[in-house]
Amino acid sequence: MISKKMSYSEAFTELQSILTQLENQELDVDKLSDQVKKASELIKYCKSKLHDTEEEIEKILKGMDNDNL
Amino acid sequence: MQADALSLFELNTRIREVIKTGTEKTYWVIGEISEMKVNYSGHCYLELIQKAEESDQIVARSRATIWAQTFRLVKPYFETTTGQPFVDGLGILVKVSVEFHETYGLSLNIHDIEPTFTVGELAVRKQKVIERLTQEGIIYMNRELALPLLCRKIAVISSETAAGYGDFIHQLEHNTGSYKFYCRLFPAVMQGSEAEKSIIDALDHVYAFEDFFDAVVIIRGGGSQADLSCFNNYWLAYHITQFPLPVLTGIGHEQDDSVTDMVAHTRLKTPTAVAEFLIDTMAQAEELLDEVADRIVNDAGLFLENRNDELFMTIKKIQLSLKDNQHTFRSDLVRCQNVLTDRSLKVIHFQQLKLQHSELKAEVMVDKKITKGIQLMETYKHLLEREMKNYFKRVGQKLDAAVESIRLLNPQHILKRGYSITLKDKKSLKDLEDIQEGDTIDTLLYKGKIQSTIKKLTL
Repeated sequence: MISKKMSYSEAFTELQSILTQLENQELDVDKLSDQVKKASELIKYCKSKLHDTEEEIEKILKGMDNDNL
Repeated sequence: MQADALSLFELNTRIREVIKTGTEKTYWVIGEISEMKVNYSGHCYLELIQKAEESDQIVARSRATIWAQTFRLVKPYFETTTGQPFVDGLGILVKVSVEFHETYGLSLNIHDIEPTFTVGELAVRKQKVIERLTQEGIIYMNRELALPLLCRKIAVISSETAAGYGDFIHQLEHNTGSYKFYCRLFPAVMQGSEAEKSIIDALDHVYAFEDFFDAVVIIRGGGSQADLSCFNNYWLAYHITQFPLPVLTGIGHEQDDSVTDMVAHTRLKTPTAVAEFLIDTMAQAEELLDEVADRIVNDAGLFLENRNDELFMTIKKIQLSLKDNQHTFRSDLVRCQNVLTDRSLKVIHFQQLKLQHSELKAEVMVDKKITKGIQLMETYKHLLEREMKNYFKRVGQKLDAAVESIRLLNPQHILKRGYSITLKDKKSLKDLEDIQEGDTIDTLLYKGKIQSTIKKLTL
């Protein structure tokens, strides 16, 4: 599914491209369901980036503490 | 020679005398404060220096003193006028007298300071830094960096104890949008002569984590008067322009923007304002995300609807084309109507004209007819008169003939010729049937009358 390494802007860009495809009616009816499902995942992912605490980032920050600043 | 030797005191006394007589009472002198100390009794001891313009090498140096009595008056005046604490590194214009003391040596006694000189000098210095950055074409380089869509991993350069830093962190952690920020403090001295180097060091440290952070924030708490001239220094500004991450400032200048503010990606007044800006950036990102999400939901629905609609497209097209034709018919009709109306109007008008003409013609004709009639009547009158005359004449003649005939038919005439009329009861007798024997009859003669009684009837 969505890679954890994906950045917010990458996810957002993908969302926009899905939107563009929809707006330009470039999508196949059969692919619509897949794309909508993907969009929903991307939105969830972006939302979590905005609001949720990411342990990985906290770890990196803690790693910096160990350096002598 | 040795007999002439002076004691040091004697020499210094002589020097003092020379200096006293050889110098004016006071001078206005331009210099730069190099080292400064204020002792417990409020006297200010400092060193005035002069640097060579290009090399920054010191070309003159002298000790100076501002006695407490003067310093108490001059310092606040200087600081309110310049908006700047009285500190090292400032260029000043001072009124001095040259003093020489046998024990302490040469010193300048400062009696007065002209703060407007320092104001001008600082402005010139700042302007020079700005010009240099502009000439080098780097002044707005940091601004050219795009702020990431999500600005949540923040390197903070500030003093740990500064109230501004606490406010900033508090603001970010308690934002109403419940956005998650990751802040890391890189401590630095935020005022005075050490600040420039300290901040540059901190920037270097952040640079090591360039890939991790989204932006750098340089903040300091406002409040009391502080030496912020460091934020007008070239090298600090230079480092900011060259920094690969967007630099946001909240330095809290009360006066003009510092050079640091000018070169920063985004300049804000206070640390709190920086926090608000970051929260707002997140809010905008979310708004954008929500909008795209909404549109995807909408458009997916629309997409299906459109496929549906395609099924009816042909019918719609036909309907549309029909409508179009109708429209054409209609417009043709209208056009015909217009033409007709136009024509009719013309015809009517023509007819009216014709009518008028006819009326006129009729009038003329009637006039003619009447005239003719009158003439005819005259003619007829003559004819009638003549005919009447003839008629009456003819009638008269006929009457005469009739009178003659009547005269000729009179029975007297016949009687005269010998005929007689037999009457019975005064009626002429023509048939024997009407009489019987014994009846009395009258016979009329031309002259006289015979009454007879019938004796016999013979057929």
